[in-house]
Order: sequence, then structure tokens, then C-alpha cells
Amino acid sequence: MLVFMVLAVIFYTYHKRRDILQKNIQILLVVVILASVVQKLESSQFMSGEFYYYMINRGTLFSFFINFFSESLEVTKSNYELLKTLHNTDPNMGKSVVMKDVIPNLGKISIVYAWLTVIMEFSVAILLLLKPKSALTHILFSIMILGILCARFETAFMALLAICGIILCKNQKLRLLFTMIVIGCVTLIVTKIGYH
Amino acid sequence: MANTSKALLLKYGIPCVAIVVIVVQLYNVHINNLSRWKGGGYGMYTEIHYQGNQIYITGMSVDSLIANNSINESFRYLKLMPNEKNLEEAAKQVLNSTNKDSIHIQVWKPTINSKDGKYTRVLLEELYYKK
Repeated sequence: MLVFMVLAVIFYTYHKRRDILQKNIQILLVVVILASVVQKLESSQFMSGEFYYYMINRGTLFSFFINFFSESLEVTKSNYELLKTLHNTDPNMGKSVVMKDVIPNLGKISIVYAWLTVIMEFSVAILLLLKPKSALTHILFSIMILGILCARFETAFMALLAICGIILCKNQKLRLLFTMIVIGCVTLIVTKIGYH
Repeated sequence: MANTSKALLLKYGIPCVAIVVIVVQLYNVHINNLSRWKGGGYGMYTEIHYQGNQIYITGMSVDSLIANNSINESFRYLKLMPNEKNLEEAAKQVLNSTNKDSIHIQVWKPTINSKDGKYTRVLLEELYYKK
């Protein structure tokens, strides 16, 4: 995504036409988000909720919130130890471990969350394709970015998406929101809290 | 006419290249067992990370083997794309740096059942290789 965005900006220095740059960014965003939806739909581990279930119980998703509650933190630590112990055994022995749930009914919650993710991403992609300048599109797009940031500090990629929002959006308040997201992400990257 | 074609090319050229790259990646996911994580942005967070794959070699410690940089690199690549070709490459690397003349190498993938929390490993690929 970054490579193609950089290419679009390099070409912009040649043609100097903002409408072409916006079209490049718009279609790139749609293609990348739709590809992400396809990958999720194809992945049985994702659609069955198993991926989210694993990530949350391992403490690698929503860790910011999990760390607030000592009981949940203990569960993720004990799950980590269980997996580490299993990893040291011969897989041919067919051993397994049972992970503890950070919150009750996490299995069902993970399935709902997986479907919500796909529906959200698909809606944003379609709206970006059909109504790239609509305020509703960019409100949903910013909610998607903030939602992902709440789950995990994927700051570099989210900053990239927010920059796309700044380029495409006409609404000053929403552009300010995207700018704040970029500044926040860059701050987290510089302080080494976020991923780059 | 020429200007219209040029504008079309400038508008849709880069997204078309992106589509080609994504199609190639999806092809590799289905045919060559490439992890969906590779590429970034359009496949991350769709399955457990490929670093969770486990390489197991009968009678050898993988942890001590990865002290060798070239073996470490081929193991990393094997976890990313666990297929027969990469298994063979990794097996050759191991045999070249040890005294053994045959090897049994396996790649295991983690699986989890979200209904009962049961976490286990399933065999993805394995290879018996002789010098």
C-alpha cells in the first residue's frame, strides 16, 4: 500500500493534477480494503472466530484494555506459559492445551466480531468506491481506523489510511480528525509504543 | 484522444499494478502455501501469524540450528511459505552444516477451537531427505 501511495505521489509531481492523485488514492484504498475482505472470507480461521479468540486470549489484541484488569492480564500470561510449554514438546505426540478465556463467552463474541469486521470493511470499501467525498463515508472510514487502533496499535498502517482520508475528504472537521489520527499515530511510533 | 488515454492511464495505472500484485499474492497463498500475512495491509490479521508455525526435526534441536544465519533464514522462509520446495531447501541447509546424511523435517501449524479453547498443532508439510 505504501509503495503504491508513494508511486501515486511521485506521478503527481509529474502531472500536477489533484483529481488524478485523488482517483489513484481512492481506487488503491478500495482495492486494498476489498482484498483484505476477500482474504478474511477465505480464511476459515478468521471466519470461525478462532483467530480473534486466540489473539485476545494471548493478549495480543485489546492489550491496552486487558492490561487494566489484573485478572485478565494473569489469564493471558498463563495462556502464554501454556503455549510455551506445549511448544517445547514433540508435536508428533499430539498433545494439546486448553486456553482460558479472558472474558466469558469469548468464543461467541469472536465470531460476531469477525463478521462485524468483514461487514465494516466491505461497507467502507463500497462507500469509498461509490461516494468517495461523502461525509458518511469518511465518518465510517475514521471509525474503522479508530476501531483498529483500539484493537492494536497498528499505527504506521493506520496513519497511512488517515493520510488517504485527508487527501480524499472535503469536510474540514473530518480532515482535522484524520490529521489528529496521523499526529497521534506518529507520536506513538516515535515513542515506540506503536508499530511502524 | 491521446490526452484521454493518458489521463486514464494516470488514473488507473497504479491501482491496476496493485491488483496484479494482489492477484499474484493470492495465487501464492493458494498454490504455494504463502502466509496471508505477507504483503501487509491486505492480509494481515486473517490467521495466526506465520511465526507461530513450528519446525520440527527428528533428533535435532531447531533452537541450536538457528544459530547458523543461513539456516535461520531458510527456516524463516519455510515458516512463511511451508511447501515442498522450501522444505527441501531447508533440509539441504541443515545437512550441509551437520554430519548427518538424512533428515526428517516437518512444519506444524497451530490450530485452536474457540468452543472449548483447545489449542493444538496440525502437520502442514513433512519431508524425508537424503544427501
